[in-house]
Amino acid sequence: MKSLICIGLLCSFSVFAQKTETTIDSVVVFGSPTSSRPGLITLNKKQIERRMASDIGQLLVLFPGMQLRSYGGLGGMKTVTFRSLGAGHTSVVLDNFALAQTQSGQTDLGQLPADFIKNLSSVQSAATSVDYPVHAKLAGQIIAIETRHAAQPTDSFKLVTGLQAGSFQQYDAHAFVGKQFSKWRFSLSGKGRMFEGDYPFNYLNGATEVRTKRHNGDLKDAFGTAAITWSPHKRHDIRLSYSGAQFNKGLPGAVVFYNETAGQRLYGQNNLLSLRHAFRGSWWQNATTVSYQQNSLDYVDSNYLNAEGFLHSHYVSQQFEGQTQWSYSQGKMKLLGGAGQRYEQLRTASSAQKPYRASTDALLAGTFKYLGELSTQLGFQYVNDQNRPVTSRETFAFLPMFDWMFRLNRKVFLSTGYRYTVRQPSFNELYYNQVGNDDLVPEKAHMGWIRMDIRQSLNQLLFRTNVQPFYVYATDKILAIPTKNLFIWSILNVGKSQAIGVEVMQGIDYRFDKAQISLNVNYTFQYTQDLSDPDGPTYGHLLAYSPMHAGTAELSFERKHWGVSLLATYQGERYALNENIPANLVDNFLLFDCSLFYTTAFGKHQLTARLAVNNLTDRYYDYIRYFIMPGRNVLFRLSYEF
Amino acid sequence: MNSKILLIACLGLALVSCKKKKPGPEAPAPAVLEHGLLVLNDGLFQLNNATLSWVNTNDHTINSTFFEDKTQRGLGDTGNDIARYGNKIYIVVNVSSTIEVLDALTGNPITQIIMQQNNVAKQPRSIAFDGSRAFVTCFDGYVDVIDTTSLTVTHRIAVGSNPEGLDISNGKLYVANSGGLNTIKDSTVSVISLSTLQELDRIVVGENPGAVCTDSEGDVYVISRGNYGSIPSRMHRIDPVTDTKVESYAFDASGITRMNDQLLISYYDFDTQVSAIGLFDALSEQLISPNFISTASITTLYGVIYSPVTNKIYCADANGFTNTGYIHLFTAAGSFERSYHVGLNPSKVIVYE
Repeated sequence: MKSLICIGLLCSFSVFAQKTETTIDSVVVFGSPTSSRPGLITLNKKQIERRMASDIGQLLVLFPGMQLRSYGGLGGMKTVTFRSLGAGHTSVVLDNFALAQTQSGQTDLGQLPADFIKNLSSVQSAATSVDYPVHAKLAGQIIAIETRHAAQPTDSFKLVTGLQAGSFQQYDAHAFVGKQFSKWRFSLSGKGRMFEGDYPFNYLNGATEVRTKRHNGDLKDAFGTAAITWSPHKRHDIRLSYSGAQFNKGLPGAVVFYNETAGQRLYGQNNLLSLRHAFRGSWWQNATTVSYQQNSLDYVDSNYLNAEGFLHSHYVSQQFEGQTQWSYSQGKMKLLGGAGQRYEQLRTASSAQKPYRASTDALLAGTFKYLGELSTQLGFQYVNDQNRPVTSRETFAFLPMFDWMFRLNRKVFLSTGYRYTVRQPSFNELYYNQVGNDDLVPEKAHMGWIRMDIRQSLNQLLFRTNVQPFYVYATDKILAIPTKNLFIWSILNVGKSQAIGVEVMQGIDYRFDKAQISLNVNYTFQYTQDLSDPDGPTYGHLLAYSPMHAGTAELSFERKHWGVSLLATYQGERYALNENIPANLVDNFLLFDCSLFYTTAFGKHQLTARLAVNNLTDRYYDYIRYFIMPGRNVLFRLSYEF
Repeated sequence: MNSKILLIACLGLALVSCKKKKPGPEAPAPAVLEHGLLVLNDGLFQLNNATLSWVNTNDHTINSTFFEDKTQRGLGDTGNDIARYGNKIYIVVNVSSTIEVLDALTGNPITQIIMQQNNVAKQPRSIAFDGSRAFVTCFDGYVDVIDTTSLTVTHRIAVGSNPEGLDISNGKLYVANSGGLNTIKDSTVSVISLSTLQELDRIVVGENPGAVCTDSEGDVYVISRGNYGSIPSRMHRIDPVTDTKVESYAFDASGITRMNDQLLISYYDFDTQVSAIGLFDALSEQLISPNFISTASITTLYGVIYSPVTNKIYCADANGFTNTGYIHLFTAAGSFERSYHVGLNPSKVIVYE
């Protein structure tokens, strides 16, 4: 029966890959009013390195509006929800290629290493940018990852390597090498992680405090990427890239009172082969990509109580995608047209079902710099699902979006926007054993926002403020609810919800001599109500795992060769189920992490030592009830760069 | 300046909107159990929220943290059965894989039996009693025999796959082998001799057997739950002398509760979410009334309990499975009396006069 619940954990296949995008300035960049890319929030390499994060999931708490859902320590699955929309509304774009997520409907961010990343961005609108695939731009939100493989090189030769060790027998080694030969650029990277995962923790069982150790939380994984870029002209790139990943990890699951047995494991292999052609002319820009992704997954439960005495499920999913986008800009106007086609299929040894999906995405977009800057797009999505020979379904949707930004005065910019988005049901939701429901229709969401950006400098002080009230109304929400008994759930289009909230970011930088002090605060308030059934017991209640308050505050000091930072992370009370009763209340938590680094250079050789102490107060906490996170832990990293 | 006002207004809105739902005052757990209902709320998988509710039937107050108040700890993950036998209460907790034993007069804890075999959870499901022994079906394919004095497991009897319900008749134990975790479900009932503790036979009844109940004449009734789709859920009767299936009934049935010489047959349609409780005469073996009790006010029928002590019927309403549920009280003639709001997924009740 645990396997039924594990469908959410079953593969969010991810691949570690390559490239692109703009170079953003220091620390956190707020949606730059002067940028042609409104609604962009970026963490740069410097801040990513400061956090010593092992995966992307650990970094996304730094973005407003994003709620991390972490199912445990280093190897635990991590997803994010944006403004209370499910993880399926977020598209994860790794070096211009969207990661396949059709089987489970979400990407496991815990399987995306944070090394080699140049920029990590939250993209709200990118209508006329050719840097993201067409179908990603139709999603509710993009998480864009730009690695060293895709970024424009600044040196003809680059070597980055590092070793990391930490608490609970955590070891990590990674290396990147890049070389430019005339019009050719080669890059290669690899990373391996090991984690014993047996961290001790306390939890409260009634009035009784229990101290125990995590079991079956071990992890071994490896990632590699090779990329070749040919630039026949400075405005013209062709990049061929291959990325592969393998993992073998235990699934410790939730802490179950009195029963610490756990025998579930996950083995996976991911492959991504991609080819991208990009041209950037004075007026014209083009990006054309083709990619093939294959992800295989083996779920094994050695304690499963069926006649065989174990459960082994094997899945292979494949995705082939091709898309092209052309943009034309002249004067105050930029137009874009694009289209893409995807074919996805899933095979499993335990079932004769052969789910298959063909999707067509098309997009027309424009940016007009009259009365400020109006960015608008109209998308079209057609999806044909087949589970041969049993079922076939077709859906299509028109997906509009606009973002209008104008300057209020020299320091203040205002903008407002709207997006209509849908998310298709995943293969698991449609077909998984007794759980799936092939009558599902896409989940729909209307999203509106107003944004205010303020930049103000006062002597050596720089203030950056971003305030963004938003409203989201979602219908036909796809929910898993128990129907036949406690263990046999069904997936149904039963939900409606609305979220009203505001995201606030405040950055203050103070520079003096050769030092800088920075304070970056992000805070999200959101009130997300269940509106599914006016006669139901939870009508008007807060949705499960939707805290009203969440945020981070980071104070950092850097001076020439060294720096120190302190990060506070807060997540407010939330409910484990939609019914807002005390029994379902999950405690809030406030965490403190600190880190320091020292770097020294000998010519072009740079050596950096970093030390981080996470969860300073040794607080035991969980994002998802009973998926207990590690207590105080220490990480040490030594890295070399040439 | 305007921007600062907007920022402050937004923050103010956020702070004003902070409404917390803190626990309200609740009836304390009684020192002595009388005039009330002890309700097992199964909770939900991996949420450790199985609970006991105490309903005071005199003043109608409810204590929803009875087990925690008595033991200072939680009941665990996913309760499945509760029964009073002698001066003890036995609570079967499935995912936590424990059996909690409480004093039947006070509710105070006696012991917790850990149900594990070679560090693998046995996942106990249901319990029945005979003499000084308790019999517990375990999802690992065994019936465990527990000495009710020493409260230790003394024997393990191998049966079919994923056994569920069980009952005793004619010196034998009848165990439904569901095979619920297999692609192809089991469809048999194991017959176990209470004298030798050996399996005597397996009787084929229908796919996915679940509940087992004996009538006043000793006949054994079994529900086969089918595949929740094309194969319907049906009731079958076994002759305890010949150990053969003698009849299968054509009406829908997903639960059986003995009420003197009659059986209450409950049914919940998963697709339409409509439930029904019929009355079956176990002497004439005829369905007297397919809708004996009006279930219009029941959202998700999850259990039916009859108490000969109060001569009343208690219907457990899981209220959609993810919301706290109700116990609806009916007379033995099927007339509604009142409802009690209890915990998450109430399934079983022990009645105290």
